[in-house]
Amino acid sequence: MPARPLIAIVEDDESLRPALLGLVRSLGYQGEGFDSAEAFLAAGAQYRAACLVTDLQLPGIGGLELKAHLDEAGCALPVIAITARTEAALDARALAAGALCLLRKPFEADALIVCIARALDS
Amino acid sequence: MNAGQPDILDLIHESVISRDAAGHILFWNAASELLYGWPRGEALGRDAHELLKTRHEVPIAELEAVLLAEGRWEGELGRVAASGAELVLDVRWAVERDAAGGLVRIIETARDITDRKAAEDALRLSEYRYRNMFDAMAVGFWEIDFNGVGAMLMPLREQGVTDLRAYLLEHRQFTRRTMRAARVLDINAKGLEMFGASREQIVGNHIADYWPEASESVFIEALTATMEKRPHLITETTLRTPSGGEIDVLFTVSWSAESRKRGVVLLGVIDIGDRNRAVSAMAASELKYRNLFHHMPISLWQLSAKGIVPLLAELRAQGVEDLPAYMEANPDFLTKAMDVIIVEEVNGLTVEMFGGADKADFVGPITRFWRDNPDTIRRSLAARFSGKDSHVEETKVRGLDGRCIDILFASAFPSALADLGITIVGAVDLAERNRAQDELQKVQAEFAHAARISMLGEFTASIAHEVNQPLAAIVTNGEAGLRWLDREVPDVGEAQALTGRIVADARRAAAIIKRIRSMAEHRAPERAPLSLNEVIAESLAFMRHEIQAHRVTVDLDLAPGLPLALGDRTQLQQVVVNLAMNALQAMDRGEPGSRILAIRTIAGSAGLVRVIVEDTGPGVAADSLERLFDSFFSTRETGMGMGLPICRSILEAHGGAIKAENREQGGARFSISLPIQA
Repeated sequence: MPARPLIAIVEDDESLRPALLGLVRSLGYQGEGFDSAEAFLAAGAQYRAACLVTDLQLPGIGGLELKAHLDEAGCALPVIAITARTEAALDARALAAGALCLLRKPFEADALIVCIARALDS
Repeated sequence: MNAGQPDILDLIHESVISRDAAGHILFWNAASELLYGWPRGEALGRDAHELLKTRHEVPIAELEAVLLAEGRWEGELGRVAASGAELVLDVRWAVERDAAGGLVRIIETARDITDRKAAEDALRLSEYRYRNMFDAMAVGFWEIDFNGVGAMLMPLREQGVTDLRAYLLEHRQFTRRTMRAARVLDINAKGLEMFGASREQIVGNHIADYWPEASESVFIEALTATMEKRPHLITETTLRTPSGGEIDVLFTVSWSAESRKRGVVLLGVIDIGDRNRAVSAMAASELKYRNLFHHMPISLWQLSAKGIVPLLAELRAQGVEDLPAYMEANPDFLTKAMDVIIVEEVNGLTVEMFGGADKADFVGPITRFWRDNPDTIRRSLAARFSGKDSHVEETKVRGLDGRCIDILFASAFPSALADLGITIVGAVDLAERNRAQDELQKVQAEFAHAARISMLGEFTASIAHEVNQPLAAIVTNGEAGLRWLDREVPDVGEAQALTGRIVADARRAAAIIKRIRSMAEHRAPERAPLSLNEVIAESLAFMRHEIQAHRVTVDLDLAPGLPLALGDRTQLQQVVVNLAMNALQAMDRGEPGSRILAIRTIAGSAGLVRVIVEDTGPGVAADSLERLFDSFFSTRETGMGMGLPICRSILEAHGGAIKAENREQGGARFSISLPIQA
């Protein structure tokens, strides 16, 4: 594990993605952003990242599908799901899919910090 | 008679002129000044024939020769007055010679018979008109001895009575006495039959008994005509029969040269009861018209077209063909035209509708009613000018009480009415109809609003999602910013950059809220020119999340330079969102990769723009296609069945249409058409 772990962020919202990148960098991590799951996979970021923060609803492959894809590929990268959707059932679905936690937008920075810390500890 | 002497001849109504052997004017009385328009000072010394442009069938020199040979000449001459007016004159010339037989001067008296000539022409025309009647009907002839009457009238001349007609009209007792002086010499069988009398009752007796008082003026006219030696007189009057009945007659007086010498007048009398009965029928029909006019439950105006018709004829004579263009170039014309179109009469409803107190309040030029809105009259005139029979439009007019009244205006000027010089205008109060229409529009807008609210209900998840995105960015950037500032050495540059992003995201969130609020808002629909391409783009922005959630690809083909349509932005967005939403839901069952929502705009023909919304879903069942736009019909279990009917009512209120069909390659196609901004 490198001294400064890489946090990969898959988020199609052009405002939130750089905001999240800025936040993780301010916490002392490295950050790398992707606007789709496809771009994340194409870059092979799953092999470099220590943690993946992904939106659930994305163009093309969604967040939970990406998690399933990683599982199939035998990649144990911890996944933090985030979403702007409001359906109550999503928490259960995210956890069932193996996500470490689900954060509802807008979320407190501390909540993300706690999740990332948990992910890096695991 | 001395030249230049203002003598008694100036008191004479006839023109008296004297001239010397060479034709130069020596004397010129006041009546001559009046007749020819030349003042005495300018006439004296001039050649009479040259000054007055004397004309006759025979050369003037020959007339002069006859005059010199016989000492006198009389006849009709044509002359021209100083004003250029053509005169017809009854002229007498007489030569005055000295004891040695030398020519001293020629004296001329002249009477203006120009009007009489015109009257004679008119009479000839009317004679022609009545000829058929003469032929068809037997005429009663009376031969009447007027010598006694003549004897009574002679002294009047001597007493200085010049206007016989006026005298007789004023002295009715005298007129009555003249009737008693006129004796019937003979009467024909038809005359007797007409009067229901025997020959003995009539012949040898005077005629006063047959002239009711009301007909005296006709008798006076006949008498005057006799004295003025008019060739004939035709008029209508009522005569009384010996049994006391009254008959309407066409009454003709004629004199042959021979009968005039004998002082005998021939009266032709025709019973025109039949004709008058026809006139009564006309009067009855006139009465019917009046009843109709006054009691129709719409506002009716009778206008005089006598002023405007010649005005338009004059323009035509000037070669004007395009009246609207002419009025454009000559703005004064319309004002002038309105000033000569006169309200002659209005009906009772008009008084009520236009806030008057009395029908008489309306009489006069139409200008005051149309001052604020003369374009209606402009268009009506243009219609009349181009040969149309009528003009109809919806417009506003000013009432007498100052109110602005919405009316359906109809003016009619068919040739039958034009011959009578009138135009009929009808006005129907549209306030009632407009109120109903406004009410309908309000209900429609309310339904559309209710449907929008219900649609927004379906969107709550999307709305929350759309707003949460920028909020998440704001919170994240805010906290990151705080961290940069909380460091031992605060990084103000980073914090500044983040604050800029926060502001941008806050604006983005505000724009989303605004979009939703305008959808939820309830306000009166408005018509503004708008680009349907923009409406579609805004609608899709509203649905971004839904489209993504349904895994649908949008295929947009928006025609560049699409003409603007006239409409309510929110309502049209509602239509697009509704159709797109239906398409998304219809495609749920298909494979994600094949879910395509295609939206195209087309500049259609006939002033229409079209929007085509297509999906790759299962299409609409054939038996549902017909009922798709019916209220409360839904193919979805959770559907309210309000979306498409509302879409249709919105489009119809915009003067547009919507139709549904199935695509050959599968999926549904909805086509919208909207009129472009005129």
